[in-house]
Amino acid sequence: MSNQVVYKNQKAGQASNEGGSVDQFYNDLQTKSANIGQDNTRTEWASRYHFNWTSKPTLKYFKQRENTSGNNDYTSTSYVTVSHGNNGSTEQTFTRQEFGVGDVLRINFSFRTGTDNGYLSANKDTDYYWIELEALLDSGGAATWSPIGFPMRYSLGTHRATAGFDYPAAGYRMYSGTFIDIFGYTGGVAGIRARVKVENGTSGIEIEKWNMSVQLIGA
Amino acid sequence: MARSYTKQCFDGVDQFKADHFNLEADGIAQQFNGQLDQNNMPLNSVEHDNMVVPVRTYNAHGVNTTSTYMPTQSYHFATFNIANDENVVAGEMVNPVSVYSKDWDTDDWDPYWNSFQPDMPQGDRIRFNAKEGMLIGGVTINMENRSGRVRGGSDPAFTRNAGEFNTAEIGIFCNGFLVGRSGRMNNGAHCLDIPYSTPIGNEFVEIQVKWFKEQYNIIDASGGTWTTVDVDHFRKIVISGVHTWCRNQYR
Repeated sequence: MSNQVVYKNQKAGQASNEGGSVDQFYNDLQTKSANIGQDNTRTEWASRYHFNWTSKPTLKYFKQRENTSGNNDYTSTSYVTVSHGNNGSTEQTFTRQEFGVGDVLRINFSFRTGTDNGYLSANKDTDYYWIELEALLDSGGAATWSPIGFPMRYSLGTHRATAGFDYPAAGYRMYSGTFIDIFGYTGGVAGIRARVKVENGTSGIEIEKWNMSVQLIGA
Repeated sequence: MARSYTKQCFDGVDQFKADHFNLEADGIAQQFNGQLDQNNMPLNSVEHDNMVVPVRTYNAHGVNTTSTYMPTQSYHFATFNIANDENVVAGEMVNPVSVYSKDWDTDDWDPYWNSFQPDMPQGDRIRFNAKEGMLIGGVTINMENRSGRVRGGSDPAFTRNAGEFNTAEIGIFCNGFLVGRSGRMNNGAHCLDIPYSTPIGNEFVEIQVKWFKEQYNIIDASGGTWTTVDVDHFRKIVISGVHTWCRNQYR
């Protein structure tokens, strides 16, 4: 240790600080510590262990669910929740997480289409399907399912004219959508879900495995 | 205030030992020897009020970007969001008036990266002030390209598909540099989720999304162009939603 006190043998009858070495050490210490206050932590980062979690809103919240097996044909022409799979529906509610102005919600849904082309050949001109992501939001009152981002639009085929040849777009295509929202109000989020609808009910979209996740990011 | 004596009590003829001073000085001196770091901040000492509240801004730089600036990072986004599920007309490809649609026969169309400006009100660009660190973000975009139907040339009674194998691409530019791209996409309506990342300095940033698409004309055996177009979908690129977002992780 470089700052150890240097001890000097002293003469009998002299004060303990005789010779100045001890005084010099303490004085030096005082000089060098003059700019160290309670607010100087000498660190760029505070770990989560420094946060008093019981007294503050969530800094970051993550929720995720995935389906690792199973598939389903969705044929509804109005939105229905993507709910198939071995781990439950995409719709999941959880303990309300509070957010403030400027906090960020990031949501992602990824899925794979199956090989079922439905009746695409007879419905080339009505081959859209949509995926919409929603969060269960409130601004202090009752919570409502609110869309995040825009409806993602896909097609079952490549050719939308009635006449002509079409190539199916289905067949293990991997799709994904990511949206964020930056809240302008104080509220809470208590759920997420993905919904799907098709343009033509006889041309359903087969969805296989999927992954749904949401993050709430605060200060 | 430092002291210049030891707290050790002495009786007559006792000896002063170096340990008396060193022991008492150690506690202070060790602070200068590497222990004055994170541990100096008491655990559970940071309350929410001690944190810097995020600063949310909207349209600070003219392109309808929503931003939030946090102590260690910032987020930014803008969205072009139409009611793209409300205007589907049977027999019509993609032509609700509210989508972004370009036709290479009738509109400005460059054989390289095309800006969405001036015809997209927002969503294709975000602007913000970055701090040195990294930009990590993405573009989620509804892009649609289809094959068409032409009749032609030397045999007007014969029709065939057009532009079946055209490709189109989305590029993401950070202050003019390409930092992310979709790769070439075949026909169909696709919602693409394109990530990008790049180092950044303390500077003003504009993230801009652009598109590129091949043009394709059919030449028949006689060398004549099939000019009779039954379905013009192959000439178009259609965008029905853009969500551009970015996270700036400070260094």
